[in-house]
Amino acid sequence: MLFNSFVFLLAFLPFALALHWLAERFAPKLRLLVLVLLSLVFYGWWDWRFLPLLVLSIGINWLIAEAFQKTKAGGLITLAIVLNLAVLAVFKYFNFFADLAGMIPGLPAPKLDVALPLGISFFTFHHIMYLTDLRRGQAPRYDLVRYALYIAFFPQVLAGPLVRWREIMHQLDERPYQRPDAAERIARGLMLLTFGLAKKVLIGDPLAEYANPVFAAAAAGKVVSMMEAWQATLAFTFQIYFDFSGYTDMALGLALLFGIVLPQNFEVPYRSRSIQDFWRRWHMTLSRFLRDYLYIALGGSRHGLPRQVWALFATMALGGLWHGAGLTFVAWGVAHGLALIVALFWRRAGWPMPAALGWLLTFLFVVLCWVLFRATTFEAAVTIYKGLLGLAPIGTGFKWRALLPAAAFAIIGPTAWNLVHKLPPARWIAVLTGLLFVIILLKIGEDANYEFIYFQF
Amino acid sequence: MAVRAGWAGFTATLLGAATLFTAAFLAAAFLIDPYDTGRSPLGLKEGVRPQGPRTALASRGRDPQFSGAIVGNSHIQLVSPERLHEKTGIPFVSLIAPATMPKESLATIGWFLRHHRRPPPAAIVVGVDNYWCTADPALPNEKPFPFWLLSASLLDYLGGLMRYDLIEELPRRIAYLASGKAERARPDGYWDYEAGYEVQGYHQRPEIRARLERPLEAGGGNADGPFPAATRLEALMASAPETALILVRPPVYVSALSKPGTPDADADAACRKAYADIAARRPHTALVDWRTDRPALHEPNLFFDHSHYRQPIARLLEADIADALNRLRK
Repeated sequence: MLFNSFVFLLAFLPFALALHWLAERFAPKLRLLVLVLLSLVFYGWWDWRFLPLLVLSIGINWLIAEAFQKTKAGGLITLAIVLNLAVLAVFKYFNFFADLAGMIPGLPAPKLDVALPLGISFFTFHHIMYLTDLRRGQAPRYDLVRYALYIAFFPQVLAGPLVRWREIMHQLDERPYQRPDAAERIARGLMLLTFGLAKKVLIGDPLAEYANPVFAAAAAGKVVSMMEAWQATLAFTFQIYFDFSGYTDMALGLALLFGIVLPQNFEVPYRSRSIQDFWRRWHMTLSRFLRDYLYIALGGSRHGLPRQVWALFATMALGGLWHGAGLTFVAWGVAHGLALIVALFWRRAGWPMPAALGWLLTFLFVVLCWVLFRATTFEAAVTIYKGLLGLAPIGTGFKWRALLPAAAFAIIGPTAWNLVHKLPPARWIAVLTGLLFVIILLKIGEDANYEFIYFQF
Repeated sequence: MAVRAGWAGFTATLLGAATLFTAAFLAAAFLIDPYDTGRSPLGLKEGVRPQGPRTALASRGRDPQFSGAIVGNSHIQLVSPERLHEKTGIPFVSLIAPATMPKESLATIGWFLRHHRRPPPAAIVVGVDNYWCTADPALPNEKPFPFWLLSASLLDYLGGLMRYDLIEELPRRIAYLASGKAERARPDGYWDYEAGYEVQGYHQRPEIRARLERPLEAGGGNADGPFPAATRLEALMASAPETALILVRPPVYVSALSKPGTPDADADAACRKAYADIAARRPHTALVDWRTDRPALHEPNLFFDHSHYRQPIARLLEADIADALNRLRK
């Protein structure tokens, strides 16, 4: 179920909090099991048929980890990682690779018509992080309940953040509601949940109305004017930020309600002064994963410049592919990889970069790259680029009203996390947050506009 | 300890404020009854301000001055309640909503029946177009529709009232209720789209006319049944056995008629039979089938597109509906 739904906010969450509180208060030994079961209900709500996949994924990885503990056979971990990637490949990338194969004349291109299990990209990486660290001798053994909670904890199972086991596991053994700051955590968690919802529902979603029709027109082969192209590209730039960072805020707030502090994922990324800075601020937990488990594994920066360039390129190309099974996503990752390589050479040459220029170049580059991320085909992306570069009619009617507050919020800040942690427990703030929550509920309830025009038969 | 009490108080205030704001909003919306569903205990002015038919049909559907209803989508929209009234003596209301499918029509009929129990409605005219031939028991609909407004469940209705656009609608509703001069949406719900013929250039653009000549072929369809929309309609009408039911297969341009011997023709015949069977089984029921080859269906200037006809055809269709109704009442 979605965080921004009535069923989650008004039914599942109150029920889960009540059950968790009862367990924490009267049966602390059952608390983690309760959280696991709640997480499975949360996951299965979307489509119960994928629940066995998550359960099996947890069970098999845990059994392999157990076997490794006994045998210390590194091959077991390799096997588990290959299995995890194979499952991900089948569900997410089978048709992508089939399409690639289909480009070669004579090769059959069978299609697999299966839905993508939600969160598979995230829980696959969680398994890989733990198993890799287990083989390195850095991670300890965990029982099945703790391991299941690490993988399936409902605030982060669908879209992260990507949590390292060492960030979360020590928190599981606490009595969260016995902590002296328990009440503060709950209050700040509620604020964070509300602000995250507001970012998605009140700022991000309206921007989709600026972006979607233009990208749809480009996909349909229509000409996109310069005004439309800039409107849509800027709208998507901020929509994806508010959507994703809002979701992360909700996840962090929800986790706080259950006594868990999850790592942050965004740190005002559109204020970055270099592309390297951007990746330290955007989807930070993914950047860390890619750095620690891919870039370094590919050689990182300690084996000479050519190897570093290759590692950067390959990491970002694969990072692009992770975001979606399409060549446009690979191109997006490659573009960022190339930019990181250019920035690397720039730094090594010792050339200067004024802060304002660095910000402008970084922002423009990131904005232009989002076209590749959002467009469904390269043809559609080219159509948008033509508009952006003025190789199309100028057009009229640039929509900016929703863009302005979004841009101000995204660039000037503060982040929801910082704001929530600065606010005092003042009554008026509580009342305003309560009002904001109700406005969000009303916005969520507005499932459709019934006044649409229907005369263009 | 003081800090702890402060944050605990903060949470209590936040949750209390959210609960109070929600309750206040719902109470205000329930009492003001934004779409005149009749659920408010206050004796409010009848009708609603001019608005789209999806939200206005709740008010129209419970209006006691009408004992007949026309239900369906744009394929039955041009059938005039006023002219049907003249020809049959039954005061009709048009409860059409463009771009709807059987699911919406069934909900609308259910609402009309619930608000016309004593005496039961005199007649219901339903446009059973191609969408009514689906085999999918879920009767999926494509466009948004306020089912919550017509729901028999109070909880559904209250859930539906939790909508952001009511923040804009409630002041408009209050203005409508408070002013004696406020414009009211047309009570009989008739909505003529004929003007669009010229506005959209149908009379001037040969490429649109050319499109009309292109045969419509679906390559078959539901030739073997079941027809869950027919079953649901018959079950719904069982609660009003005395109500006349006219099932109208709306006119389509000749190029949209299926060619004999094709899978399309088999599917169309099976669907027609499902509704003809209801007409045969249920008393006070007739099938008016305009999905058959007739001279009027060969005239391109009488059509917008394959399934949207113009006023002259609507007149002929009204006459057939009135004849069928008058025959049933003899």
